[in-house]
Amino acid sequence: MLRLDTVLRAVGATFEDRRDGLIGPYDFTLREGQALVLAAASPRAASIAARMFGAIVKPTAGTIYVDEYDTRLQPPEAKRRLGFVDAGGFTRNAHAFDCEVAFRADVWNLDRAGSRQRAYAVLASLATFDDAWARAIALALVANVDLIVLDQPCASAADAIRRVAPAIAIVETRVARALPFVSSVPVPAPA
Amino acid sequence: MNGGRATLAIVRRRIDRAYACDWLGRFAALCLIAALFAPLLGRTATLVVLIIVLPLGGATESAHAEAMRRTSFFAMPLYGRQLARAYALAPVVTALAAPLGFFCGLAIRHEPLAPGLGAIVLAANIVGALVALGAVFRDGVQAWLYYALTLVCCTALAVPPLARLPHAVALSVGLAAVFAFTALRAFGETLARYDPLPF
Repeated sequence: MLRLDTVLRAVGATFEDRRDGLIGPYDFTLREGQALVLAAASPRAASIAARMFGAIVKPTAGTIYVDEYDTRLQPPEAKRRLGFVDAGGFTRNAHAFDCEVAFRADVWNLDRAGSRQRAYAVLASLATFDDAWARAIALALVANVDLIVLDQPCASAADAIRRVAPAIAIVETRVARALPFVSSVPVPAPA
Repeated sequence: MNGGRATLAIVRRRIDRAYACDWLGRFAALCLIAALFAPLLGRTATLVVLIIVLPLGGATESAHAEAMRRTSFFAMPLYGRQLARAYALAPVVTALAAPLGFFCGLAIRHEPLAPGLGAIVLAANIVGALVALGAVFRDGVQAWLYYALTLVCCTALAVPPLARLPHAVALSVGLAAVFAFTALRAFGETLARYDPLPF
């Protein structure tokens, strides 16, 4: 039997927000190649949930593990294994994209030329896709990551990632009303 | 992980052309002010301006706050202390523009400041910038408490030269080193605990 590695594990992960109340709890395990859509009550809640799984915001209760690294205790290790795509994509121009690739290569301690080559290869394979999102996805894939976290992406962003990196695990957050059919996690009623 | 390479990358991103123009603008303004009005200030007033007023003015200026709060910085795989060092460099270099401009103005008038006092002034401005960094990720009263703390620290640094205490330079610079180290550590802690929530 094929056994896939666990990339992301959420154990009762909850964020208590002053404005949106409780976001979560999230309990799930995501393995390589799997994708998950998380529904949230508002755009802000969706952003917070994405940032929680991107190891940017710490859950107020419960735990999130990225490749077995606790995002609360070892956020840098967790962040090295994931790519975070902020809401709206990367809206700046081509020069800014080039600078951002070099910047990421430095911060992630990667070879600059190799990173640039990789980023432009991804960009080329997403040529028919929305520009801002294609750039954002290419940036997220500059480092060798196991997980991509998308904050309220455009439609079919996960499919686009799947085309260029089939083994990667994907988590995307969406506002509940924007999801006609899919909801993988129960959404708490708005306060 | 190569923290030095990441730090340099962050500093390069912060220190751009607009930053350089801003730095030169501050330098030139203070140079002009010192060259024109320095004789009107006595020794005490000059020291109060350089050690207390300038750092406090720089501290309450929060142009870098928005850049620091960007999510992209928090998505980077860095520890709070690494991020703090990288973040602190640009405000510290900014804080040195005004006193260096003032020194330049005094030098133009052929009335240069004693090197010891110059060291205290630079140390006070660095301390002011580092203590005020704590206010960047706080709002309202909490932020103002950091500005008050900046005032207290800079006043403490001004006391030895103003009171003409023996070994005033060593005392002030030593105190500044302690303040700066503590402020940078505290800023690292702040960054490690900070949750960049969407607006």
